[in-house]
Amino acid sequence: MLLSSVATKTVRDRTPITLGIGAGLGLLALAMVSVAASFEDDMAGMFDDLPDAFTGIIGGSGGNYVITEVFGLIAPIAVLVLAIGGGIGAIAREERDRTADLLLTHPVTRRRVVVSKSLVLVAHVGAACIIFLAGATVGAVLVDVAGFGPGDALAATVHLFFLGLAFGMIALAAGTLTGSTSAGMGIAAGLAVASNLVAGVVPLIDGLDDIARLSPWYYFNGAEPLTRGVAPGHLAVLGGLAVAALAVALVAVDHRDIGARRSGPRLKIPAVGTLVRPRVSGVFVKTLSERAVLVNVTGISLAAMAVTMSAMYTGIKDSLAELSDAFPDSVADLIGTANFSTPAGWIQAEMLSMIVPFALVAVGAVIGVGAIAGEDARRTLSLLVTTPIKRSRIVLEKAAAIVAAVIVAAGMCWLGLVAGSAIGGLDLSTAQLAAAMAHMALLGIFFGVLALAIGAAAGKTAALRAVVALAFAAYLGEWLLSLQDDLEAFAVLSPWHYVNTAQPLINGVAPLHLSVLAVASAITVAVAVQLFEHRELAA
Amino acid sequence: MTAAISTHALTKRYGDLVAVDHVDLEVETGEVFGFLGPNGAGKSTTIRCLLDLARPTSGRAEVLGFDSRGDATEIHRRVGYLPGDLALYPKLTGRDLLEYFANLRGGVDPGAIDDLAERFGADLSRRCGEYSSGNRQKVGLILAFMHNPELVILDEPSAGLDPLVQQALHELLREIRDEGRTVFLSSHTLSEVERVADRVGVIRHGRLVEVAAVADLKAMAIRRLDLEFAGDIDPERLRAIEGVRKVTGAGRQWSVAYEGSLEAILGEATRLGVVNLQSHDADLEEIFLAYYRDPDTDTAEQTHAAV
Repeated sequence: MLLSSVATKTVRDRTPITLGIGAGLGLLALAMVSVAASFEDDMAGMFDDLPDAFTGIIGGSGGNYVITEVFGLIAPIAVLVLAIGGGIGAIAREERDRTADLLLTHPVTRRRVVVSKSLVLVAHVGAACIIFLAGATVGAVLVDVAGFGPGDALAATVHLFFLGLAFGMIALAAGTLTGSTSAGMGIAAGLAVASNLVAGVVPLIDGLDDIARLSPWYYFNGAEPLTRGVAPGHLAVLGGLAVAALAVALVAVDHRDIGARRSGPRLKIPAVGTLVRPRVSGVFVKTLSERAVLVNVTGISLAAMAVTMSAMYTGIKDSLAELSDAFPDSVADLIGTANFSTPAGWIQAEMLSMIVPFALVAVGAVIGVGAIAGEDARRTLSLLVTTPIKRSRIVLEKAAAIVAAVIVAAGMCWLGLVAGSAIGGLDLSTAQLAAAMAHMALLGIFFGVLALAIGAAAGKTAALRAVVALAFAAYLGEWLLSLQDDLEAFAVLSPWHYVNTAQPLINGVAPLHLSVLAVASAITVAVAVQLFEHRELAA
Repeated sequence: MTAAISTHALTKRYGDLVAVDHVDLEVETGEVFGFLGPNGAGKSTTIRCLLDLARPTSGRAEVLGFDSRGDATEIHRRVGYLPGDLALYPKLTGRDLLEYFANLRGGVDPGAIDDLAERFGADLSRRCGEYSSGNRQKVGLILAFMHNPELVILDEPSAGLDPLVQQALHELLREIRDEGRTVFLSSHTLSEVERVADRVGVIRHGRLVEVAAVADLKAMAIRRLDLEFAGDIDPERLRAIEGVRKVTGAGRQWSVAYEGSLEAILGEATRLGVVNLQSHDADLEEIFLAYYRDPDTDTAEQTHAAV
């Protein structure tokens, strides 16, 4: 009975987010098929001729580009968010919330708790995949798209399910090993991103093709399930990975001290210690300093990626050149360039179309949600607002911390791009790289203060869900709207419009677009101040 | 002299729920005021209204002469507050955390923090996330006292503290009163309130049902004396003594409930040949339990659902 109650509780805790992600994916799948149908004439056959370099970068091949994009990138990201979140939640989140002691002092073994929670993880990932599949199947039945039928959707979704399972279990193992939600999240998400690059980009370098086989993503997409059907061998690899990770979690959970109070030796690296030492001179400084790890890790990762991508460019620019002729507009709209083979096009497509803006939005949103809603959730807010600091100043200092954090992370990325350009001989203009980063940073700041404003009025979970949903909806909305001639004008409603359309990496700063983002951010901060002034703190 | 706290028909509703119901409370400057009531009676909600964490539905509150809504910042500057559900920043050490809030207050004498840490035996070197609940509470107390506030508002301060630290806290509260500053103490621990409070207010179902001096309550209180005699006695001789309410027991062992002075009982007991006696404290608890209990007949009260 206890086993079923652990499971039932976990099911209940995670069902809203499962349904949210599932519903989003289902609607996306429907939209995907209808958009794909309207482009079918333009795009038919185009992709079959594309070289491997392109399919590697995009993360899929064949069939319709829009469908490939959704199945190959957007759906996996959403499913991994769900799976990794669920995996971390199993043990590490219970430890963080100090409910682990309570749970594990009941007559149930630790392993049964882990098994029970992992079964729920399987069920939730499965549920999201089924809702997604339902949307895609309905779309495929209603709308006739060449080369895409219900069977294709099923095969691709099965691979998606196994990918989610693998990373969910990896997150479970990481969270159980470390006992820390942030460390577990960092390990699992870091592995997901790094292995995606290993599968997508590294094989473009001659002689390194086989390295892709080290990445779980290879077994997700390498056999092209969307066109060639299920690849049982690849599924077995992903399934084996999931089982192995679960085994690690089961061993780990029995060999660890459980609880939030860890008194064991802590990693002490002098330089890092200084970097992340908490500083407490004021609200702004404290908020910024407690996010030092997030900002530095994001900034350094982006910079390292920038250097790697730039260095790689020389080796693969010949194969990239083949792409430029056969390039559909919808792809160009998504990645913001029509020419892969130029240095600017390469950096735009690989770094600036998705990874950098989403990373900066994530930095802004994490700090924004934590700013007020996070303190409220941790019950420290009443201490803060009973100091003689006005509420308006608390909001302004927190907003300033968001601005500073995003600018620092963007600045580190810019340094990486400048260094990479020099190393790889890309010869990109320092000023234009700065212009591009300014647009990206303001996008991150906007979503950061938006999270702050929502969090000033609502709870942490609600604020987080709202800002993630808004960021993705705005991203997809901008892309889908820009594909439709008669709806293109509505794309100005999306903040993403102001980082994508002006192509600052090629054209330099677009003052109007920057101003729109800056003014929108300022208004949002003003709204946040008002919301917080009128906010009652729940007892 | 202005009252340290004064509320005027202070009312806080959450939907249909009346958490605080027309409370008129006066806490004088320079006293330790005990605020008592069962769980969910409205103690914390009242405190949160005083500090502008919750906003009154109607009525108003003044703290140190300042309006709780308009002058919240001035109140925050002069008040030390220990929340009932204290939470600290888990990644800061105790010292960093205190320094942070000291900075937000525009600086605090570092000696004051060290003195308080010594008094309470608080460990400030480790991170708050690693603290036991007792040490967390000690840091919360230092937070409330470190800036020498004119008024200290403590919501269940003794939670998780060992008796020695509780004693140190009570001593400090008396010192604060002796300096002419004010303490507003919400508590469940009757012995604590009895020991340090000058006056108490009892709140139940959001209503202030009693405000009285502790000394007056004690005088009214029924006390109990256990007596052991050399041989069997006639209990009627005990029952006849003035102030004795009840006599129970048999043979040589008797228990006497009484109010007022002990003198007459001791005189008679000596005559009866008492060989051993044990006195039990004034049962304030009985008085409070009477306030706490929900009289079945009191239907008007029950329509005001408790929090």
